Amino acid sequence: MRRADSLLSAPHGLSSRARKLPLIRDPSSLALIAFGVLCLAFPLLANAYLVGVAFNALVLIILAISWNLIGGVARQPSFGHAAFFGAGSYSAACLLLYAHQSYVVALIGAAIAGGLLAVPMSPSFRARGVYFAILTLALAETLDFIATQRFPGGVSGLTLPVVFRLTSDKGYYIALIITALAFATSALVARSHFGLSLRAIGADIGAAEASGVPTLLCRTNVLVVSGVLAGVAGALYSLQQTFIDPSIAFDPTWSILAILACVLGGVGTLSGPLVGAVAWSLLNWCVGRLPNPGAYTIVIYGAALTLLAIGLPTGILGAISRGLGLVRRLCGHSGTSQEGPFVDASATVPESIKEGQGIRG
Amino acid sequence: MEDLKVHASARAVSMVELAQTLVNGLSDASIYVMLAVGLSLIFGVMGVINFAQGDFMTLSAYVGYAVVTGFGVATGFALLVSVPALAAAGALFYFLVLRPTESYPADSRLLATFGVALFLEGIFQLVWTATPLAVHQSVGVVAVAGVRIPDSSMVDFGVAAVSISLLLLLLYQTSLGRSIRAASQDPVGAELIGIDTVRVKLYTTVVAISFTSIGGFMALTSSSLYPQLGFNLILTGFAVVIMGGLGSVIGVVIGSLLLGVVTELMSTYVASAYATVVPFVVIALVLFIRPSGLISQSVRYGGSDGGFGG
Repeated sequence: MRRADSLLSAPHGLSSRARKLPLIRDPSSLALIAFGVLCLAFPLLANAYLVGVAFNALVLIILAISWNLIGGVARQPSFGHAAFFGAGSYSAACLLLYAHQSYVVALIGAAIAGGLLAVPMSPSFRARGVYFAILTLALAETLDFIATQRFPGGVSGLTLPVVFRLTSDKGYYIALIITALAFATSALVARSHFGLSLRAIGADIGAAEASGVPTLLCRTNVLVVSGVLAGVAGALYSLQQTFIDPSIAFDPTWSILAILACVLGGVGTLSGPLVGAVAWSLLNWCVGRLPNPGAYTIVIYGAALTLLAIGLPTGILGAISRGLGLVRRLCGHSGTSQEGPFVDASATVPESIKEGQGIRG
Repeated sequence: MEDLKVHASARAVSMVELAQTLVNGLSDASIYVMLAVGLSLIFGVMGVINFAQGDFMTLSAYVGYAVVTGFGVATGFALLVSVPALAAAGALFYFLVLRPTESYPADSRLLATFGVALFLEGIFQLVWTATPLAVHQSVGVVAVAGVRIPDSSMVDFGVAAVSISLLLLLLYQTSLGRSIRAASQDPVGAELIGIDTVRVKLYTTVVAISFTSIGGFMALTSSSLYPQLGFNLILTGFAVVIMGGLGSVIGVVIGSLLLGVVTELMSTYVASAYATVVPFVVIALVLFIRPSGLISQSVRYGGSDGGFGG
């Protein structure tokens, strides 16, 4: 469907070779490939500390991709992703500590736990919009409370032996593989019929229901996928930190961070969560590097967030797309464009961005 | 005979305990109501969930603290300074954050208010540090039949009752109130019949933040002051607003009373740890049973459907 779209809008002047390789003429794909190469080479370029920073950025990317599926594509703004994250952290830690499994099993276990948690969370879909947001937040907080009372370790948490720690480079590459898988999942969903249903739900749930989309089933399914991803993100985090307690694993900040990353990058777009999570991690790192970072770091975060939210309402990707559209229009007026007659400015905008705008309506 | 007497006195003690719990619950409820009514007003008229509402409450408490300790005046004077100061902050908040983001998707606006919350928290830490502060005052306690009622609770309760009555008067007896209700029921319709919606939104924000600032004054007199004070209460505020249905003053009052009392009952008769989870369980229960809040549409002053897309 999307492939057909992009061929339809392909500029006339391009060679057949370029037409066979849609990646080459799509600037967003090029940027993605460049980013992938940078990620692969990162441990060679940076010291262990920076690799640790990048690891956390990858965890945030996974979490943001997870949130974007439910909150961005299907527009069900979950505020309870910390629950999935925490469930993943705890199940991974328990599998390592008590069942003495390898970290691979722990990661798989965390994925299953995150996915299963979606089942008791799914009745939240009875509530809509902002009520859904608050309900998921409340469920996550309740799980946090249960964790302090009943989970192994209680309030004081669990310490994993250092044996289990993902050493910096190895851990980084494991996280990178999982990030790539998460991104691929998100891309697959975007191209599938399922993704189309989700976008229909996101655009207008009543209309989707009326046109025969099984909205409850679709929303539950996407919550499961989202839960799996967030669970794995939590597991990665606990494997790197080697210590978790309920106030870390179920910190509502995880939900907030996931939302922040998506809103920063561009809600509902394919690469928005990626861009947003990287941008946020960079901001985080820059603020941390300021001389004697203290209380004013949080002031800077707050001011930056508010200014970005006001200045870039459609996220960084939305701003880029507007910029590209503007450039294209200027070029078109000055007659330097090589495009065919029916290619308008919006056709050159990366597909992922167009989608986001479509969802936003 | 001896047995009977012991039994009777045990029952008297438990009645006192129950009454004490209720009094404490009502005292908590007065803070909740001031916070939640602000949340509800802003949501009703602008469709924004204001994450910074709790931090405006904290700001008010810190301003009050600065006034009381700086000038050595009685705590009541804090109210005279902090309410106008916060009203001004509310106007600023409207023009700098809410108005520029008017046409934005709801999650962007949420992010903007969340940023304000972080910003304010950071400012509190910079100016007043993270150490809990408290105003030194002689704590009077009135004992009624063994139930200890702190002066501050009575003041809080009275202030809350007066404030809510004033708000109801404002909403239902003035033309501004009529405009606010109109704008919250149908923003486009309100504009079409000539209501200056910008003015209405500005005044709504100012009123909402002012009410929350009174909550800050209550927090100042009844507990210690720390940067996360208001933000920690925001979920409780949501719980109250959910119970009342977003956009209903009476609903908010009922929700606050219920939540305050239930939380205290839990803390007295079950375990104090379990009290913290009450707001979340309440939210979950209410929304599972009635997905759009406890109070029906007809009671609400605003007809907003609670949709996230503003």
